[in-house]
Amino acid sequence: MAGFVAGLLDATVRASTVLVFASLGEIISERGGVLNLGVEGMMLVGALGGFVVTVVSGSYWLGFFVAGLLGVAMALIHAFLTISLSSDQVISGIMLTLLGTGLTTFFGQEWVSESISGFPRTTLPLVGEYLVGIPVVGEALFRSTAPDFIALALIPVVWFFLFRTNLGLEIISVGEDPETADTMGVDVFRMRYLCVLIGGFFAGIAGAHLSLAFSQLWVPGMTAGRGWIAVALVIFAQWRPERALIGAYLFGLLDALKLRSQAISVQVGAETPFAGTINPALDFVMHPTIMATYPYLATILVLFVTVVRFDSEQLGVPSALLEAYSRETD
Amino acid sequence: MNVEIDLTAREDVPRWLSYGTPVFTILMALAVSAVALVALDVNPIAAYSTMFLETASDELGLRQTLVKSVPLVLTGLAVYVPLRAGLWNIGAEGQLYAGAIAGTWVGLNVGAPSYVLIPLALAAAGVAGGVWAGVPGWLRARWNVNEIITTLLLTFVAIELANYMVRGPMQGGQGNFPVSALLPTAALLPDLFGTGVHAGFVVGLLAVAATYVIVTRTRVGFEVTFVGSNPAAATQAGMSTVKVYLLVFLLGGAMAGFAGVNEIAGVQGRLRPEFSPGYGFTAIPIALLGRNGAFQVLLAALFFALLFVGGSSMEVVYGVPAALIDVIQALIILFLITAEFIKSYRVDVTIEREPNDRPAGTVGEV
Amino acid sequence: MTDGPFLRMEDVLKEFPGVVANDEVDLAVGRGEIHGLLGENGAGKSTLMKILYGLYAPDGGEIRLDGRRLDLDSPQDAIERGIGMVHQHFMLIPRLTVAENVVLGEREPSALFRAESEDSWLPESFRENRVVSGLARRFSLGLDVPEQRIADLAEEYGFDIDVGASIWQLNVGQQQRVEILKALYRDVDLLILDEPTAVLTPNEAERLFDTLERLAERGLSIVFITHKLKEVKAITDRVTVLREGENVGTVDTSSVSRADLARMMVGREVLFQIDKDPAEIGDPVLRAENLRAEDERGIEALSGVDLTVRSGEIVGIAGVSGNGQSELAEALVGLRELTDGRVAIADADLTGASPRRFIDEGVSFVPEDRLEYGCAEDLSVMYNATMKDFRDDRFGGGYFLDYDELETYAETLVEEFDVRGVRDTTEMLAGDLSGGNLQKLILARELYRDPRLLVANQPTRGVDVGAIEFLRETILDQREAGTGVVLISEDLDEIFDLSDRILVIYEGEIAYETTPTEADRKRVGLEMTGGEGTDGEPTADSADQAVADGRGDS
Repeated sequence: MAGFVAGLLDATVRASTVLVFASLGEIISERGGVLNLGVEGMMLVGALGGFVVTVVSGSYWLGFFVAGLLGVAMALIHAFLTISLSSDQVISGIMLTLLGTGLTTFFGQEWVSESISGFPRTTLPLVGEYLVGIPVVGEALFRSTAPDFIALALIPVVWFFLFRTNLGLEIISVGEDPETADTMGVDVFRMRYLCVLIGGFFAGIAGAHLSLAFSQLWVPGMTAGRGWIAVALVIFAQWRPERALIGAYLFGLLDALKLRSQAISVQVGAETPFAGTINPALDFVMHPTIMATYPYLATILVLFVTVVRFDSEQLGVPSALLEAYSRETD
Repeated sequence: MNVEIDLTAREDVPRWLSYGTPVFTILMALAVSAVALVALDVNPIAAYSTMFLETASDELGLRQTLVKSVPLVLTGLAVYVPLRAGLWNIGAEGQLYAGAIAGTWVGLNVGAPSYVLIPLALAAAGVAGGVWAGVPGWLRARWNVNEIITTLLLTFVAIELANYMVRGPMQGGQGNFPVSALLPTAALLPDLFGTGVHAGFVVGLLAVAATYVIVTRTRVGFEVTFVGSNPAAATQAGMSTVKVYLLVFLLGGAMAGFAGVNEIAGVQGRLRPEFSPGYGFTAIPIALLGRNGAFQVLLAALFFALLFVGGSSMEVVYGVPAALIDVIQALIILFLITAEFIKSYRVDVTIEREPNDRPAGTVGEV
Repeated sequence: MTDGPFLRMEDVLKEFPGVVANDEVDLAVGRGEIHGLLGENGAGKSTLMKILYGLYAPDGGEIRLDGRRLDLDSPQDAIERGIGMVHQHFMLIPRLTVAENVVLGEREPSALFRAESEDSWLPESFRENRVVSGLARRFSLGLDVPEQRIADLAEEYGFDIDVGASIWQLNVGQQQRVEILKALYRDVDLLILDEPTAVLTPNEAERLFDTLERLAERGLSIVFITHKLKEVKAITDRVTVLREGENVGTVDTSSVSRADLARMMVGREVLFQIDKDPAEIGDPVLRAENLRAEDERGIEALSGVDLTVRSGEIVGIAGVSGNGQSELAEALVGLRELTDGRVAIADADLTGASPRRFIDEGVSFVPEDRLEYGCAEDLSVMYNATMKDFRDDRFGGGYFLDYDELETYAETLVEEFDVRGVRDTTEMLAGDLSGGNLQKLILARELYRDPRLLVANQPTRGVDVGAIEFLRETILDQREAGTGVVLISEDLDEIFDLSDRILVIYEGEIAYETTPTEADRKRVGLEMTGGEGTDGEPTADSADQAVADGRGDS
């Protein structure tokens, strides 16, 4: 049982990393007032781009970095449309997801059968080799791929950036009230571009983590809605980086369970009352296809609970989210 | 030198601009997508002529286009109707699967003559699609839970549910293939006067007409339009946003449900996992392109159906993935929103010399 | 440096599509002068100042500050040249603290990297390195030193402000002081105040005037934008009058009378007197008892209001913004949930009923925010004119709606209520109407139904003088037709001119009742701020409660 739990925990940590990257990027973007629904598309482009670069160059670090840049390139379209042209953020985002899906399916077919050696698992530098021996949690927390460690390290970094730096203060001001920020001499356009582009970079490396570290292969559509879950996680996290980790672990766990569902079979004994009803019901809820729906259903549930518990003021939605800004429109 | 871009809001949109926009956006999207074709060593002009000219000039191509347009127009309406009320239904794909599952189940399990069975299957599909969209609708209406995320996530659930059905309770046919049994003849949609186009096409046309009437001729349509424009003012005027939000999602979901059962009973003959090539997602560009009215949705659906059919023949002839049409769709809308900006502003670019007595210390920084 | 005026604006031109907002306007302000900028709504005062603050680019003209030419691309440039502005709508971010709002845009580095800091262990040469300081200004944030400076400034001018408090915890007067602190923190030489007293109580306005005089004594030049003659006389040294975007003239305030100024401002003799016949008061149309309701934050905004309005009677509700007026208006039309109390319209008890029921019982509503609640700006005049009456049988029975009839109805309203600028009611968008015409359309829609009760919240705010007269007369006509009216206004003149009875609302309660004939304006003003002795500051418990409910963002 300890072995099962350790394995499950390990898979949970690994599955959560992609969500950590994607939701941190989305938090920065939305804190600046721009909703990015193109995360899923940017992740796919990052996943394929990173994979191809790794296959061609042999360097997974280069692949990881290029994936981030591809995310930035996609984000640039979003930024130009929504910030410079004041276009609808929802439309632009959804179309970028469609574009990313289309592009990666179009160009990605010939790479499906390729195999790579992606990020290897290593122990955390300095302290890892001592801590990895801790029962149950040791392997999960201290023997990971480099992106797993980077994702965890980014949480305090992003927190500090948003809440303890001048750029962070300006980002928050631009997402709360761009007009006020403008009158205080904050360059609203530049700050918003910055936020969206950082968000794109994070989405790109989230995708690269998926193909280079998590799966070590490329399949069209491999993000399977993780980009959308990340968008929902941002609401659950109330736009705070440290809370995103909790959500990411929750969904990582569901992901991990799904992958392991074939290995589990739970049945009650025939002598238990209602065994005739309970066992088929257990079969149903443990069926791999049904377990595959849990991350999505859980997201909806968590979203519902979060929204019902807080009104929009307490929830912390950036006040100017979805609002385009231009000066001379009185 | 100093480049200055001056934007002035236009008061009147020139006529050539408002009519030229759709054509312009489609041409731009095709031009940019051509780059992708060139990247795969395919001559874009030849590929496009296969895609459009050959499909449109060929009887089989036209027939297929009409057949493909059925799920596209119905899911297009499924997005369009909530959009009128200011909401996003980006999960038409899931509602289509829900309709397909329910409709197939009725077709397989109810013994009745055709004229009873088909309406019954349609009704079941409409209810299933309506429920699938109604849940996000209710969550949005009552609790203000973001409908974009919920509709999309429920799509993944519906697809997995179809997977489960054809592997479990509805598994049929020979061997262990994950498909349902073939529908009985009574449940299959008849051909329309021997044209090779199934009767689902009529369902699509009726849905367009019904949507048009509801939106432009009824009280509830007035409310939908008003709520879509300003829900706070609508509430003040005594309209119920909860009612409107729920209604548009139920209606939209039902249409996507029809799309699902039409595709099974008119084309596939049995439920297969992942039978839809993303009709419900193409529905979003369709609704955006046709957002001025139900008939525009029909036109957009026909155009995208041509794109679908042309995309498959291009795949066969040149071996390029049909996913190119996803790229084209997305680009059309991205260019459309760019064009909307150009339409509402006059852009003047002037290049002038730096003024001489510019005050010092005005260099900006990030 | 020069003998000329500190600020000189010459021939400033600004055009918006269809309007010339500033038609070659001149303005000269001396050092240490408090200069009034007087004009009606829409005369171009705010536009001129937004140009001076770098928010709008002028289409022509020249600005010189201290003899040097001023070319502004953004507020950043204006700030660097020593210009500060207190906007009419406060430019403050509620979720951030006072200190954060003040330093925003200044890029104050953490104390560790501060060049002049004494207790930093980093070597001075390192801190002064351009790259290091550039990075520190971006990737760190030091509030300790600024907080001290803000607190010192606040003390110097007698502002009672906690620099660590979030903006939303402060009352309106305190928020305005934060706005002034923002400018002082940046060592401005020129301070622009756009209608600063609009949101203040009379006492707070007095305090503001004291502060401004102290600032002027220290050599600060102040531009004071207003449309209130009284204030011009009370505070300014000289005054420039704008009318329809043009400069009417600049005069020494002491050399002119209020009547002279009024003539300059409006361009004709104004005797704002309304002939009001005595009311024929009938049966109660509204009976509200012990109304209690909460605001968006869940804090009680109405604490037991009793209100009865009879047919043919106008009841004016006076008060300073934010004392429960919006909540009261919404409670009376069914838009706000009551936590306690009862509302009855005529004989029907409508406690807890939907807005629809209130409309059906003959309640009309003119909301405070025209664009947010009053209309759908992206829809045509036809939709907006019929948004409450489209259910009526005359527009077709059953589920179907006769759009031709709707159009005819909309045309009738446009004609009878003199809504200008509408050629085609199905083409013209409500959002494209001017403020005054949109308000006429809204009033037309609400009154053409011949309601039992009209609830009007700030019906003439932000509307030009011509439309104000029309709107007020229309409301009086409706009173004669037997409608009961609840008139909520922050404009005491409006309350006194129109009302049959006056109620003063303070902190969610009716604090005082009088009639225009008996009323003593001073007393009314005093009651608006909570009676004798207090000066409109929040009580200790409400501030504490706010702190308890608050959750900072960092």
